Amino acid sequence: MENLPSNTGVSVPPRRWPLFLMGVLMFLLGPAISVVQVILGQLGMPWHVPVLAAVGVLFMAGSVLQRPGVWRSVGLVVFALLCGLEWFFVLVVAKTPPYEGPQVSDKVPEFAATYADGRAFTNKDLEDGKPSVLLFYRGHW
Amino acid sequence: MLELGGLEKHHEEFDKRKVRVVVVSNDDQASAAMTQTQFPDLIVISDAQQNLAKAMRVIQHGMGPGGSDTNAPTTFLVDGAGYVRWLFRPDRFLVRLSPDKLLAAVDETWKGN
Repeated sequence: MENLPSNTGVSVPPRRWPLFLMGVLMFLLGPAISVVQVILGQLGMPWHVPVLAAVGVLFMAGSVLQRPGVWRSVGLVVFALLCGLEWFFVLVVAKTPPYEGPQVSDKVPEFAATYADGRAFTNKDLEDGKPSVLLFYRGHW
Repeated sequence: MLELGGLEKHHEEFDKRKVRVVVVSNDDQASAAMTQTQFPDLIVISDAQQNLAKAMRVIQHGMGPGGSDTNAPTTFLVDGAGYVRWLFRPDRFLVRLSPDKLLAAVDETWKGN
């Protein structure tokens, strides 16, 4: 059979949304993994969130380079900004201040707080011979 | 609050080691009472005036609701005489100590007792 020429002869670049969508999925994978971790009760540092977001943005950038388009470019900028916010959060916002309180072998200083039932709770309650785990958490909010 | 659920689940392990688990937040007494109902095997403390948090210097300024001060997640092991024997402060507040690691620290701190 004879080879027929292509109908127009003008090559149209293939659509690149799959690459862009892969980037979006990669971006969303980080939070999804975090949700699973929370369900499993594992609360480690979620470095995977900004890392996967950055990889996702690279995918999106690749898509835009191969086939520029207004919506794709706007999407890239939005996701790149979100990625930047994620990095800012984990690198700056989430940092705890350096610890400067009592060290190992120091006595717990005097204090006064209350049990949940309203009774007084003081440092003397930690000196009754029984060891304690004393855990500070961020509260009900 | 997630870490409290993990501790509650492991409370028998702490009981076995004769260690009580005291959890402290800046919540008022009413909120602490709700938390106590939810986690009956922990000892929930209301430190609304942040007296204990200031004594232990675990305040994180401006990171609570509405820019208020809150506790930086910090865990201490305190012996029966009131002395700090071990402490854990993550460098980021998203990190929590797992009950397994805490139990390992308890065992390591009071091994042979």
